[in-house]
Amino acid sequence: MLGRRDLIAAAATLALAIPFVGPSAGALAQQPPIRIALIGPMSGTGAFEGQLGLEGAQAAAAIINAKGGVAGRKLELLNYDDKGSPEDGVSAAKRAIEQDNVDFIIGGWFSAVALSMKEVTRDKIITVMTSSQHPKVTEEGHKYLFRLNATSAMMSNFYSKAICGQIKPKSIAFMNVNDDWGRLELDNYTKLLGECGIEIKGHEFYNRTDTDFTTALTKLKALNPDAIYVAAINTSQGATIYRQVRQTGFRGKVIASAGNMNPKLVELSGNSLESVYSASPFVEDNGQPSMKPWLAEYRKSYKNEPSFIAALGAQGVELIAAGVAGTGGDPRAYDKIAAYLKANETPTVLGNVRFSDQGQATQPIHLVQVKSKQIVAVRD
Amino acid sequence: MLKVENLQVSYGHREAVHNVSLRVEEGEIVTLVGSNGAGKTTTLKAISGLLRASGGTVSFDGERIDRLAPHQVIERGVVHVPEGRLLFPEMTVLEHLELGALRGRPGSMGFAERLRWVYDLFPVLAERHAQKAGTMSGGQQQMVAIARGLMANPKCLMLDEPSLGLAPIMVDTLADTIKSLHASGITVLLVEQRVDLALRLADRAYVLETGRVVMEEAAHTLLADPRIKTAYLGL
Amino acid sequence: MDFTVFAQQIANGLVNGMAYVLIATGLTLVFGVLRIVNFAHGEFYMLGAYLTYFAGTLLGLDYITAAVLGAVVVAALGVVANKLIFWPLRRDHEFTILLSSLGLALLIANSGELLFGADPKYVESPFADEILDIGTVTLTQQRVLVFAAAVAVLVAVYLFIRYSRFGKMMRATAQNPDGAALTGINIGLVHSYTFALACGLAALSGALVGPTVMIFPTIGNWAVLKGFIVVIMGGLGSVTGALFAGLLLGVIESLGGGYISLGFMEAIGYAMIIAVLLWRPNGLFSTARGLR
Repeated sequence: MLGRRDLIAAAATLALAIPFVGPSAGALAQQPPIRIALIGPMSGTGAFEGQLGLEGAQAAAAIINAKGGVAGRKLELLNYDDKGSPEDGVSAAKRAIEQDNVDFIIGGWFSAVALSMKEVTRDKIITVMTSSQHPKVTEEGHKYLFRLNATSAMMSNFYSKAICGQIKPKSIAFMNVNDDWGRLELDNYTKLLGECGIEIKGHEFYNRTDTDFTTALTKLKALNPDAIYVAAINTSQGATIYRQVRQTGFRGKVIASAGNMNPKLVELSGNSLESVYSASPFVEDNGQPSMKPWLAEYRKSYKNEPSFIAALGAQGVELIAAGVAGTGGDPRAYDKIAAYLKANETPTVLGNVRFSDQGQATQPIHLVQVKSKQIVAVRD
Repeated sequence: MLKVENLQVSYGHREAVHNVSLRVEEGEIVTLVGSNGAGKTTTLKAISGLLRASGGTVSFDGERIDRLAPHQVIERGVVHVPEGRLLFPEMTVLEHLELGALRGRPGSMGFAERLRWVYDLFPVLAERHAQKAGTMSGGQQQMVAIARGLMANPKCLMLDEPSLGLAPIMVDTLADTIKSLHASGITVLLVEQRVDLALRLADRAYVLETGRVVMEEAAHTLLADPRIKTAYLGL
Repeated sequence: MDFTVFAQQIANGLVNGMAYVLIATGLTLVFGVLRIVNFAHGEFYMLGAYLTYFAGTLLGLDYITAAVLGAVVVAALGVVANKLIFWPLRRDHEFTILLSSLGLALLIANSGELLFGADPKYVESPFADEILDIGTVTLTQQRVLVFAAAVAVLVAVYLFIRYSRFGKMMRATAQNPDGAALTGINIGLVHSYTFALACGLAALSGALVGPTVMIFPTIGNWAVLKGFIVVIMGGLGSVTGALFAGLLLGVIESLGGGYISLGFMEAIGYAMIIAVLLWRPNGLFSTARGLR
């Protein structure tokens, strides 16, 4: 028999439930949301970058949802932690596909994770790889795979021209992270900068877990190069390196690897980033129609400054939305969506993005420099 | 003066002392005798607060002390010189004596006087005050242990196996020392493997067997009774 | 060989090594006196760095005051952690204590991530970018400060342990806890203050090293790892052992990284542990009996 307390509880539950059932029982609630898995480093040394990417994607999704979603369906973002490791990235992707039944995946912040994860998602689900620059990610051209960031080859083609033509150091030494990407950077730039007559003085590889770089920088400074090129993805390692470059007494030019300049890095590095160059697809005044609302939404919701990494998250969401909207609204029509994205230019916060048959994006790239602690585009 | 009632002590699930009751009156020398594992050392540890009793009470001068930490028990005048001496091997004799005086009851003597008194009692410690305890002989270490205890100005001194590891000639010296401490007004509770020695020094004795008191008797009576010596004491 | 570079690498190694020594001293004290292998030691290092950061940014304190305040607050947190976790467990199995220190480490690191955010931060110090040229060697004032402050603090700690009354109580407790209790030493108090001292030292190292790197909530892992390498090499519970082992590790890392390969730098620590343990299983300066 029901006691009086049970009756009151039941009544209260009903009273609470009614307003939710009432108005939202309209057309939108009938349509299930489009589920997008966001797989990124949410803990460990890459946690900050993962956080930025998540924020950028959420801001873009919020703007789209506020306008009524995509073909009447809301976007729902599900967040997974790959801890920056390939093993965790693979298990997160499996969980997203098998247990959570997501419609799309955005991920692949680190190259190592992207390379393992693409084997799990290949030909199963549309996967948008974000910041990883390793050429192998799109080399084989899986039919549902897209990668937003320029490859290191595209970046280095652009950047080496800028270094040779605009920065013009006489000699250079490299300070690169010891992983697939860092080694590839060294090969690319040794070749490209050597070709335009810059003397290559030497290089050091540091480890992804190092916190002190004085040993390596002491060696590089002793080579007496005109410029030091620093290849660092991780913001906290990068900031430490830029500070320690100056602290070891190096007074020459400093060149930051392409795609790795962001406001947080500038904030953390103090004066040591002043007049340092980089190349970036991200500049705030690029005139793209979706950039301004996204910047506003981002600054309203998050305390971090908008950055390239955050913009990649936003691009991933914009791309999926455009693909679904352009093909009639079925998020599982993967063949149609993939074909649509490869055939059409998609407008995004960073510019109009075109994809090759392998799923590799072509993005506009800009030479940037830190001036008075602001990242500004260098106009010719 | 010291009163133990229905004391129970367990190690984990195993009870080592069951319902031990005993008392020590002011000015007495009382000894606990019994074979190995009879619960003598456990009883002393429970009195000094090193082990927590699971039942029963311990009181000293009418105050419950069975819930106190060791340093609080020492402050009340009960000092335990443990079996195996438990010295600090890397510390000097003088450092032991300084630490022993930390919780000393205020008495007629200040630290310097008390130190002189202890050095008079054990002249070799004065000579070797800067030597590390770990490098000393067994007899000397026993002197350090007793001296450390005396620095706390005890009313009641509990000595656990003081003769263990001593050369025979040192044992005689030890007996003399215990007598002279007693003469200076210190009540003594003695646990000693050398039952003959213990009974000769003591006024009364408790015989413990497997964690229980099986007999309480005047020491000379036990000493005189050959049946008891064979039955309980293995002599 | 270029002498300038060699001297610079030695100087770099000595500075890093002295920071390791400061971290390891607290770890070895806690092991020596409390018999706790404290995996949470690195988290107190992390808290020291963060409290210095927040005392500077939120309260507007200057760097030195912020660092001292951070160390004092972390020492107080250490008293609380000991009272709540390690003191009640002191009679338990070593393994239980080990696991609870691991649990405490995770708890603090995860709360740090929630409270402070995952983004790296930088502890501002007026000495961080000021360069000093000492002969051919170039160091920042901050790095000289790390070395000098560590030397001063370690000398003070050494004298304290050696000659103060409380230091004697600590050594006695380390060498024979039951004997210490029966001598009238308040073991609870000794545990509490020793843990506080260790946490304070960890926090101070965090505050000193902070401005030479970036801080984030997981830096404690790095600190505790370096600390353990040094403590195992120097002998668990040995303060002098930690001093020599820490400096040795710093210099060997720096020379190994400088003249062999940077890739070896991390491996060198582990290799040294294995070598030392094979050669002298109780560490280079082991006392096996506890604090000297």
